[in-house]
Amino acid sequence: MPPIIEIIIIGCLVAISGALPGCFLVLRKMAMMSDAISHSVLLGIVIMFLAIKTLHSPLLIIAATVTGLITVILTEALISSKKMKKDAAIGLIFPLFFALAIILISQYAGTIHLDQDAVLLGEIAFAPFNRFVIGETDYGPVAMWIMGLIGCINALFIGFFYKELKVATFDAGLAASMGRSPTLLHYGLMGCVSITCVGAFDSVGTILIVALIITPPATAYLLTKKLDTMIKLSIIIGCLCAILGTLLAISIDGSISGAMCTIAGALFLLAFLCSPHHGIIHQFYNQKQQKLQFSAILLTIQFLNHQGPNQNTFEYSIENLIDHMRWPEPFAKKVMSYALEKNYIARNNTHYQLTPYGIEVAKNAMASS
Amino acid sequence: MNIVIDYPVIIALIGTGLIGITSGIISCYSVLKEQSLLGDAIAHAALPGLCIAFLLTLNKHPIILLAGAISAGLIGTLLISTIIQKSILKEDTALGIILSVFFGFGTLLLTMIQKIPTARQSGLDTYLFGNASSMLASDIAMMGILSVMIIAVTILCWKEFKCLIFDGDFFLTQGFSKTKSDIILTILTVVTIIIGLQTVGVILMSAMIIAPATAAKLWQKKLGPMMFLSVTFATISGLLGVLISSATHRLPTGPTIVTVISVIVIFSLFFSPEGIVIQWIQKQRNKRAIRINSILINLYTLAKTHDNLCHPHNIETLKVLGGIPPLHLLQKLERDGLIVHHNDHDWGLTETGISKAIHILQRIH
Repeated sequence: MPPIIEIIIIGCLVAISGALPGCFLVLRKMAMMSDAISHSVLLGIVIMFLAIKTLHSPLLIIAATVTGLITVILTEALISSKKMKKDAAIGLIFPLFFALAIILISQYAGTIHLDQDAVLLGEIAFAPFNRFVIGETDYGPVAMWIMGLIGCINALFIGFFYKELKVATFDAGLAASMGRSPTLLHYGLMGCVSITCVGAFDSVGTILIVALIITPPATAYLLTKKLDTMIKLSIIIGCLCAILGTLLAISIDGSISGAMCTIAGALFLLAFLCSPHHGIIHQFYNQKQQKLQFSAILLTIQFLNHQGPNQNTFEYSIENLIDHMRWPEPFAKKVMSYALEKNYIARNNTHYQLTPYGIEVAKNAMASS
Repeated sequence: MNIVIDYPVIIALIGTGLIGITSGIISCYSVLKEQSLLGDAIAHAALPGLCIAFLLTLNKHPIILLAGAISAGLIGTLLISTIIQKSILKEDTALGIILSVFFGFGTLLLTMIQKIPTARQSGLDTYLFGNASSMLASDIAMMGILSVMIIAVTILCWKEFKCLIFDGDFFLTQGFSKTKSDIILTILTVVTIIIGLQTVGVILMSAMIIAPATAAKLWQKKLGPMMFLSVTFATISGLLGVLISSATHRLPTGPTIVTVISVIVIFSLFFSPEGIVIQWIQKQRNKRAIRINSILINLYTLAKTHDNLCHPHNIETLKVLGGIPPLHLLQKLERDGLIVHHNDHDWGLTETGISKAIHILQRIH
């Protein structure tokens, strides 16, 4: 396989592994825990590295996952001690762990390949160099197998506990009353986040994995309200980030992981602006439409209260109307044309007349208020 | 360990001292507003600003980089509040998105900067992890001016900020604009974080925004004293961090400062008046007081059925009234002259014991 395909596959695997627990983090309002975990796993990696002196051991992943869970436990303990708020508790533990890790690196591991930039930024472009070779056969990059395994673990956990997670996420009280243990699920989910962060540690780096855990599910959440659709969508969006990001990075010769995040941000922005239900543009259009609708109804009421020269007809000239409603002329004209379109009023030479339907609308509006 | 106070160390000490003061102040507002993690997001969001400012001007002058970082920080904050207001996403998700996407975009730009032959990225590199020993006198001058501005604005807007944090609705009824004060406070926060980045770096800056006030809040509840303590903690940890790291081979400043401030937080968590240890001791004392009082009341209740209120009772009889009291508590009461024992098992109240028991009963009813 050419390296670029391998990079894209690894990127997709990272994105999928991140998106699976990410959906639940976003829904459970714990997105920032992924930021905390991704930073503190470094301490576990460093300590285990100093103990066994190699970067290629499954023990490293285990140690790092445990550190991630310890971060979660300590943070929860701080929150439940009521001595500080949730945000402060999250923001206290991980900088300390990260600081300790950096100090350990600078003191004991200065000469080895574990420098700080690599930790933070990662470089997925180097991932294909580290091959998984048994005997004479080359089975592809190690990172691909590790991320694939982690993706399977996450998929198994979420597949197995899907119902429980769903109930616990949307109705914690119901889940507790059904005798499900929310603690077990919580730590299981956090365990998934931890191993994903560790696996992604040397491909996309600690901060950028946060982008792939949070942003695709958040984007999907803007597009759908169903959990299973959201998970599927966020996997698709995550893979899109990986593919488009790699292509972008190659075309401008920049950091691949950085480009993936940029694409993730761009896709989020797109959904934020154009989502059919929650998008800013839709909201804006809706508001405009509602304002027109409301004004048109006001207009019919005004007509009703302002009888024309002939008894029982309700008419108005546009000049009088602007004067009476105190609307600026362009807006008044817009409302008039809306009302015409909706058949509230009809044109009668220079004047406008309320239609029977308009009379009904006005009376209804007044009755309902 | 040998501490050498030479020119770069003095510069670094002044610099971290200034950062300690400003972050100590802003920390209080962030923690009390429950927006501590915003600092983390702002610090990360500054990276693309730095890069764009550099790419546009090809100049590494600190003012240009600072302007870029501050504008990116402000844009990030604005986007976070827009996402929270205009979509179903909650605060934590908004923070996470802006933090990671901005930072990712920044690293993309950073790799492009590395390709420019004339530009070595060294100046931008310190931004990630901070490097107090690389500070120059000109940096200090600029930090000094900004710090004085931050302090001045805080003093001028003291009442407004206080109202805004503790009772936003009251603040509105007094005819103040919530948005205006909020914007001023946000600008102060962004500026504080950006000037702090040079010393402690992106990731650890969030600790400087959270830890000082969290520790101070455990000692003091009033805003003024709390802020004084918060500034003291932040400054002490800044200075200590610089001294320790300058005296130790290859010890980075930022992580050392964060470790010191974390130690202060942990100490406060255990030993402040609200701390775990002090509260535990208080709880044990209360428990003991309740048990002592109940011995007196029980003996009094038993003696009331007799003519003589000092009538001694076998301690076994107290079993029906909630358990036999431990011997050491009885002995303590005897030492205090509240009860006497007539033989090994029979204990009775003294005159002072009776009045004390009556007093307790009156207080209960």
